[in-house]
Amino acid sequence: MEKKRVALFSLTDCQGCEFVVLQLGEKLLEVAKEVDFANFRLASSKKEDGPFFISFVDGAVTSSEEVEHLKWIRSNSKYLVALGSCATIGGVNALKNYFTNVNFPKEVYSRDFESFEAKPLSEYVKVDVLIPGCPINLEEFAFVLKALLEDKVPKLKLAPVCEDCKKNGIECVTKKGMFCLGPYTIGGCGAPCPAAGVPCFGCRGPLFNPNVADAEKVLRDRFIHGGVLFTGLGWVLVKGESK
Amino acid sequence: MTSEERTIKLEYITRVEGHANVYVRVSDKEVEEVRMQVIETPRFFEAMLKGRKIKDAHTIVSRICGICDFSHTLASVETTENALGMQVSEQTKLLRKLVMYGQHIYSHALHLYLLSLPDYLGFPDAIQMASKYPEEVKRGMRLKKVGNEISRIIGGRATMSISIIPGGFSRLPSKEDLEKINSLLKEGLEDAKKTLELFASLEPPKLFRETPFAAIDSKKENYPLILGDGIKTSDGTYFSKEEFEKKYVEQARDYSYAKFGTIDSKAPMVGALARFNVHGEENLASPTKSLLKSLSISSTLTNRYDNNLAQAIELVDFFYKAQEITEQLLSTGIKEEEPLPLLPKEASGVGVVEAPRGILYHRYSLDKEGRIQSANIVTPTAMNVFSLELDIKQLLSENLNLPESKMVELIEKLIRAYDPCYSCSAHFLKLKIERK
Repeated sequence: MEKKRVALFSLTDCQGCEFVVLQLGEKLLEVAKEVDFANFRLASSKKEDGPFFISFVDGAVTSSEEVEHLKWIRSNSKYLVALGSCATIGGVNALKNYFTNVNFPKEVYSRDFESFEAKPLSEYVKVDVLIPGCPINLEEFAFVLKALLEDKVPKLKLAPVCEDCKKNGIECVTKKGMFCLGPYTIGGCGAPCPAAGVPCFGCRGPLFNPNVADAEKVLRDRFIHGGVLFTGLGWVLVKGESK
Repeated sequence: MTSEERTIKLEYITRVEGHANVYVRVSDKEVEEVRMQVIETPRFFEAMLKGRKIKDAHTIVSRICGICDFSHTLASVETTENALGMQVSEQTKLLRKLVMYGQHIYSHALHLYLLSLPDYLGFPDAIQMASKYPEEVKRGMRLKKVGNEISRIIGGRATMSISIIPGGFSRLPSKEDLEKINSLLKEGLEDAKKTLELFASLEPPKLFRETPFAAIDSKKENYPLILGDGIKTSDGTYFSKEEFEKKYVEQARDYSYAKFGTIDSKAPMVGALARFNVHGEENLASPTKSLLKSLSISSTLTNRYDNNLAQAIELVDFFYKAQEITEQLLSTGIKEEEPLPLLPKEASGVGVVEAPRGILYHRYSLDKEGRIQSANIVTPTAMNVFSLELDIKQLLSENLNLPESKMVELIEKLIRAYDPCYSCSAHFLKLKIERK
């Protein structure tokens, strides 16, 4: 049987999600028996053209060059997977979207160049599967890869992080007086943050449409003005706030 | 371009973290210009930190880089503690040292086996290299896993730490956790030693250029990775971390997103090679010293390409040092302690640590509510950009008669030996040679 061609591409991000993929370790060699990594710049000098059976794309879109690259990837891929929070919701990069009065290039590099609002892939192309998380969860990646290789498109389960905590017997951090975004955030991560005694900050993105007014009010008072502004829900709510 | 001029483009330099280009203009007789262009899409972390509460800084900055994430976290918590005058416990320091050894073991193993070794054995990647050298690739994967596991156990997750917070740890490891680390280190030691033997047997290309090597220095630590007080160079310069921005002079260039920096008007080199040359063999663990002797490895390494060898030396050394700490913690036992409280005040602080690829500097200024007013971050890849540019220039002038494909190979190897991480410095390397 011919090997299916899989590619990994990265846009604006830290490539941490690709490093998580490398944590497959020796299993990666097993995977490589079934798939041909046609494009995985971080790990390989091979740079092949499409078509690709699956393309995993990490990173947010922040330049017109990246928009073009992403469109090229889409047109050359049967399945396109958004890998990690930067690709699914803009990630940490989206923090800059809320400072409309700041010229970021000037601020950091003392000169002007193009850098537009950090946006998720779905703003520009059709995305077949989302793997959220900052970083992604390796089991989820392996699950999605296996399913897609069998031509099955897995759907993201929409359950809160609280389910992960219950399943893993993790004590609720709100009992310690902490404000946790777990109830509002897409679970499936295994709740490593509450397990380490730290509240969820919503890195996997919001579970519901953030127009839910009561939650929004609570979150505005305690979350945004509390200063925890990273990804996920905070991202969406502040966007609402800036309108 | 005249008819005698030629432009060569190498579209991808892969197996490096991040995007950058090299632009080279050469005539028959000399190298006219070399430009290191870091074209990684800028991410503006320093500006994004503005207005954020200090308690969130370490979580945000760890996302600067997917491979040095723990280094950014540790630099950040040390900077916060420095600003707010927090004195963390000895146990916190030991656990942070241990987790930093884990980060270096992981990063060195990844870089040596997955990114660099394919160059020496003639493969495009480790996966294909595994067809002929399965034992080497598996060894690299096992070593990488030891580092990942130390990170996961102490930090709460292998990538993007959770429990390392300003003032201490949100969750402390258990005795069983430490026993697990201890046995991983014991099992992995032989792999680490074989790595050093392997890299000592390789014959890398050669490039010698006078340059100050720079590394962090600490009054209380030998061969420090964290807890830095200042910067020390191989030509005798020392300055405190508070003086960093005065002594390390940065310039933005119009062709690169990375800033170019100098110390005493000279481009410094940072990283494993620099640490080894600045702190010297005497600060290695005694079994590492014996191993160096038995392998006849010199106590000063001046060939640039020996950065890989220096990483292999550190890999073994950090196994020994991590084991020492683990045993110490096991004998004293982990004391239950709460992290120190964050009491906001108007203040500023600095922190210097050694990321696997070299010096990492953070500075934050805070307002009275503990919100960040300004931040500055200088990363090792950015610190190395200038030195790398000068190295490429010399490398090319020594090899002008070589065919272009060989030149490209030499440059690629050199760049990978530097272990750059372009996400940090401001993805992907293009080499363009223009020939007259």
